[in-house]
Order: sequence, then structure tokens, then C-alpha cells
Amino acid sequence: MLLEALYFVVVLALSLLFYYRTKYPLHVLFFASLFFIAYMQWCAILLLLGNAIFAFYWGRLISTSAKRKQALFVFGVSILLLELIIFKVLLLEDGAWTGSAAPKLMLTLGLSFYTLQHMAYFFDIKIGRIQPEEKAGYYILSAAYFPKLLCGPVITYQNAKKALFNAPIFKIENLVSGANRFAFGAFKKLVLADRLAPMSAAVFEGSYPLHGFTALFGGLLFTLQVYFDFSGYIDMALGISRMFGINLPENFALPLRATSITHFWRRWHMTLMQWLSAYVYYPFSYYFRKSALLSALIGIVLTLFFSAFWHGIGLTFLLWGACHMLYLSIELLAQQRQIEIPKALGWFLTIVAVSFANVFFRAGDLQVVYKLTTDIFSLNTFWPHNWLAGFVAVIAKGGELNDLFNCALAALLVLLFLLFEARLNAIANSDKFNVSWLFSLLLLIAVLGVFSDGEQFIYARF
Amino acid sequence: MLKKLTILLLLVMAAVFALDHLLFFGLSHNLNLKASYVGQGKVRAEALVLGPCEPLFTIDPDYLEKKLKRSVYNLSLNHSDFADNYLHFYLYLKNNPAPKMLLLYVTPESFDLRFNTFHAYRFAPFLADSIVTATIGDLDSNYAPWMRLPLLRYSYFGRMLLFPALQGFKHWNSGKQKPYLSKGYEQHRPAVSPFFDPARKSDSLLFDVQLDEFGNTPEDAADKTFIWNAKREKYFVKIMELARAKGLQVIVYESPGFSGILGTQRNRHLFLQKINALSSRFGSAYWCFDHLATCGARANFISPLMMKSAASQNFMDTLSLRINKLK
Repeated sequence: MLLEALYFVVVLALSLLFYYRTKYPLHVLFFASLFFIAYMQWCAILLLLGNAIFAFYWGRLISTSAKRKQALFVFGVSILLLELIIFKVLLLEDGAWTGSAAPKLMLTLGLSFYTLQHMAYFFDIKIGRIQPEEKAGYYILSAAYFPKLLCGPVITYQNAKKALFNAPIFKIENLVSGANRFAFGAFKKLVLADRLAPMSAAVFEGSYPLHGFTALFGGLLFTLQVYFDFSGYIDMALGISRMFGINLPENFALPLRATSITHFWRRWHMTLMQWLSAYVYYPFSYYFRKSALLSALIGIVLTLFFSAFWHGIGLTFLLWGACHMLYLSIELLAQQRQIEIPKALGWFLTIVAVSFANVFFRAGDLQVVYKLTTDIFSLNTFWPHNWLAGFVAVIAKGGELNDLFNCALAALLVLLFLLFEARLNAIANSDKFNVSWLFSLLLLIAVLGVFSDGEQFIYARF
Repeated sequence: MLKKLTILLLLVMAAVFALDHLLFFGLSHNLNLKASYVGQGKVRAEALVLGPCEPLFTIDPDYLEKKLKRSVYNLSLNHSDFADNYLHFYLYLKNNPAPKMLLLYVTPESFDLRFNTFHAYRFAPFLADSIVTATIGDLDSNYAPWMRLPLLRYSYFGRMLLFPALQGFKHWNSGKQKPYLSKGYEQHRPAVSPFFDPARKSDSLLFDVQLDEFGNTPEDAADKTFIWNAKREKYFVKIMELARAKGLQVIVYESPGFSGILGTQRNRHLFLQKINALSSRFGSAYWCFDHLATCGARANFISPLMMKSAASQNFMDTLSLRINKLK
């Protein structure tokens, strides 16, 4: 990991240098992106290039063929979906959570993310929202742009075009702001997410029976882990991008403070939800526009079905999607009847509901789903009789002092972070060189970061 | 801007070096870490017990001392392999008077990479020693590049080392002289913080579940075809060579295992022959105790190779009798 980090820093520094010095900055970005992919898995370049070239030419075909526009659009999307299904099924065989699928995951580096871009590109050309790109290189770069490749944010081609294809203007503020954001993301990933990972794994990967509360708490731990992991990556991606003077869209807006599930989805993985709204929810609800309620419900079901499918082909993801379909439908009905609940209660219910749904998201297979739901719904054993043995020792992965220390430290760090998150976000987005901020983050990462057995980014699995 | 950057770099460098020294200090003063404790040169033992969790939990030096009539220290460590044992043995000999005898636990699992492992983090405070760094370089290529980086050499294993470093400060501050496990032997139960439940005897927790699982699914040890590993052999030989160089009498032994499991291991007999041949090269016979009546009863075992304390006392009686006959 050390050498990888060093290579990355060197390549990034060289790319920045050439990007601002050369007359061909986009070429620099293009080759830096290819180098980044090749370093991780050179075969992934073939898949990415193949997809991007197909999308580029197919987009042109859709635009030039007035009569067969719809058929070409459906065919193009079907090809992309089929490819996604094939790769996701292949990955599913090995199990994305076990780590054994890692080489295959590397092969499909960013596939789920750039597939969304290609599909949106076809759709936008079909309805005449955009004109097809004329230069293949530009289109390929928009798909391959390395900061967003692995885990997003999800962007459409027109957004990528607006963000990427401008003449670079060197500003020291961009470098500072990028560094502030990058360090913040690294802290979230290395200190918070990776410290929570073994604790949530203890719940999901253990074969021993659990008390209902402990199993549900595992869902909360995973929710926190995936939040810090994913938002940490996004911070790093946005930070690097900002160093190049490129602004990528935000993906999170304090989602763990949401007071309803609707509210939660407006703040969580925002770029995916925007994509789903634009290309699944609205087009499908349009067909049922005669009944507002029906169109909203059908939109919710299809959007979350697609979201579940995008995350992985398996019943566990479908169950996760079904939970959110149910939550959102209930909220929609409650909203229609003007039922309101206090914000504090809303926040609590949202956290519990999201954590419960994430039990399915993280479970991996139906056996684990069955075990954990049985644990959660065995009401007579919901609360641990002995909190040390039935809760702390399970979460801490043992009863030794060192395990308890790590567990307590993770809890403290997470609580402090969540308490001051809004303020920390503001500093991370600042373009002022804040010595104490960078010093604190670097030191916290160096002392409390997990380097030896850290997890790969969770969303790189999808 | 440049001024601020310089200040940041200077601050980071100062903090890194200060924390590096503090962590080293804390870890070196933690008496509960066996490597640190033996590194302080405070152990005086005539017989040394070496191996993974089986001897750690079954060989009680207080009991064995009475039988052997010589002082005993248990240098065994949980999940350790031969390389781990070798470095502990090396650090012991480097800092303490050499014992007269080494009791080395060896079983077919010891030569199979799937069982136990090398823990580089245990040696983080000893990276100034070339033998230690060479062994880590040989066995943990991920950690090797981090070894020379101040602070990161410790924080690479932060989850394992931060708490022991803080505990080391406490030991230093309180003037503590003896470790929690004064003779290295650990009673078979997970340690639990008295902070959570002072009255608790801490003998259940998750371990109860593991005990139950053993009764039903002992898949870790049953039906195994062992695979011989050359690196395991290399470090076994290094232990034997080191013992020979210091003139130690080496007893290579395997404590009794549950016959219901051992009987299902496909090439166990071939491994026993191979271990015997290897030990003989250094003038030591390989003692197996799988014929004892203890082996037949499931009730005597915590796990397939680990006896409960009553059974292990019977075993220590037999072992010491045999050692005393040698004398």
C-alpha cells in the first residue's frame, strides 16, 4: 500500500505539473487516466475503451437515424445492461464481500459507473437534449477521467463536458482546497471506515447466534462504515479534481441527519439518485401521469428496483431495495394524509430503517439474511441479558482489553465526527491554507489510520 | 503560503519523530508484551517453553517447576508460527541468561501454512536488530517497506500497538516489575476488562460458543491433509540451530490431541515421521503423546489439540517423568 500511495502521489504531481504547463492539458488527463487504470488492472482499459468507443459511435448512430432512433436506443441500452448483468453474475459467483472476487472486480473497474454515463448519453441524444460528441477522445476521457472512475460521483456526459473541457487556469487556491478535501477523505476512509469494518464484519460474518439488538446494531455499524468509506472516496475524488481546477458534483449532504427516508435519499449518493430520477423515475412516472399517486408509486418501485440491480444481482440487494420501496411508499401515503412526526423521532426511525435495510445490503447471501433477521425478530432475546458478553464482546471481536480499546476509540471518533460534521465539512471545502487542519488530519491518519488490513473501497465492488 | 507550508512540514516532522519515540518507549516498557519483557532481561529460567497457543494454555510453569525441580518460563504465544517463536527465542537469548532446556511444541499443523502465522507487529520495537528485520523481510513483504519509516512502522499495526504502547506508559509510570502473566502462562479464558464487569470471572463470552462449535464442527483440524511448508521448516531449523549454539537440551514434543480428530487426519503419520527425522538431525527425539488415555475423551479438551487444565496436569506429570528419566 505504501508503494502504491507513493506511485499515486508521484503520478498525480507529474500530471498536475504537465496539466498546467502544457498546451494539451486534456491529453495529460487522458494519459494520466489510462495510466491510473493500467496500474490497477491493465485489462480494465480494454473494457473501458471498448465501452466508450461503442457508446460514442452508437450515440452518433442514434442521432443520425431519425426513424430507428427508439429501436437503436433500446438496443444500445440492452447491450450495456446485458454486459452489466454478465459481469455482475460472474462476480456474484465468487461473492463480492469475501474478497475472492477482487481480481475480477479490478477487471471491471468503474464499469457500473461509466455504464450509467453511456445510458444517459443515449437517452439524452434520443430525446434531443444533447448533440453527440464529435471527438472520440473527448468522449473517452469523460468516461475514463480517473478521480471519478472507481466509485463516482455519477455524472452525465453533458456535466462531464462542462466540468472537464475548459482551459486550465492555475490557482493556488485550487491546490489548497483540493488538498484540504483530499486529506479529509483519507481521514474518513483510513481512520473511521476501516476502524468500523472489523466491527461490522463481526456481526455479518460470525456464525454464532446474536441478540436482536446486536444484529440490528451491526446494520448501523455497516451504515456508518459505508458512509465514511464512500463519502471518503468522494472527498478524495473531488479533492484531486479540484487540484486540476475541475469541479465534480457533490454526492453527500449530511445524510445521517436526515429526518425521513425521502430526506435521506436526497442527501445520500445524490448523483446516483439524480441519475435515477432523470432517467428512470420521471420517464416511467410520465406514462402513468393520469394518477399522481400511482405514477409516484410506480416511479419509486422502478427506481429502487434499478438501484438494487445496479448494486448487484442478487436477492439480498432486491430485499434492500424492497425495504426502501416500502419506506418511501409509506412516507408518500403519510404525506398525502398530512401525517407528521416530530423531527427527533423521524431521525431515529430513519436511522433504524436504513440500518435494517442495510442488513440485507451487506448480508451477501440468503443464509446470512435468514440468520440475522431471525436474530432481530426473536423478540424474547432482542436485548442482551449480559451486555458485555452479548454485545460488547461481539462488536469488539473479543473480550481482550486491546479489542475493547479499539472499539471504544472507534465509537469516540465516530461520535465526535458526527457531532461536528457540518463544521468539518466547511473547513474541508475551504480554499484557505489551514495549518492546524492539515496538521491534525495528517497526524490523526498517521497515528490512528488502518494500514495493515484496511478494506478496499466498498463501492468499488459495485 | 510557502511559509505556512514550511511550518506545516516542520510541525509534521517534529510530531512524527516525537510520536515515534513515544510509541517505542511505551511498547518497550509494556511488560505484558513477551518480546518487550524478555527484551528487558529480567527473566531467569532454566527451562523455556516455546510454541503457539497449545503450550501457552496448557503448560503451567508453576506446576511444571515442581515436577522438574527447575525454574520454567513459558515463552509461547497465541497463533504463533516457528518464525515468531524463533524471534522470541532469539530475543530471549540475547537479553537473558541462556536456559538449560528448551521445550519446543511441534505438531503437523506447525509445518502447514494454514495454521498459525507470523506476527510482524510483535517485533515493531526491535527493528534496530538486523536478525529481526531480516526475518520480517523474509515473511512479511507488506510490512517490510514500512519498517524504516518513523511512526508509520508502529501505526502500520496501529490496531495492535497503540493500546499496548499506552499500557507501557502506565507500567513505566507505576513502576510495575512483573507482567500480568508473570511466567508467561495464560489460563485458558479470554481476558476481560474489569472496567466493564469487575465481578465477572470472564470464562464464557464468545469462547463458550467456540466450545460448543468444537463439539459439532471441528473442521479446522479434522480430515486434514497437511501440506509441508519449506519456510516453516527453515525457521524450525533456525530454532534448533540457535539452541544448539547455546548448548541447550531440546525436547521436541506434541501434547496429547483428541483422538477423535487426530484419527481423521490423512497424512498425520507421514508428518510425524518427517518431524522425527528432522529433530533427530539435531540430536533430539520427537515425543508424541497421542497414545495416552487422555486423548480418547472429548471432555478433556477445549479444542482438538488443547487440553483442559486437569488433563494438562496429567500430561505435565507424564512429560516431566520422561524428562527426569533423561537426566
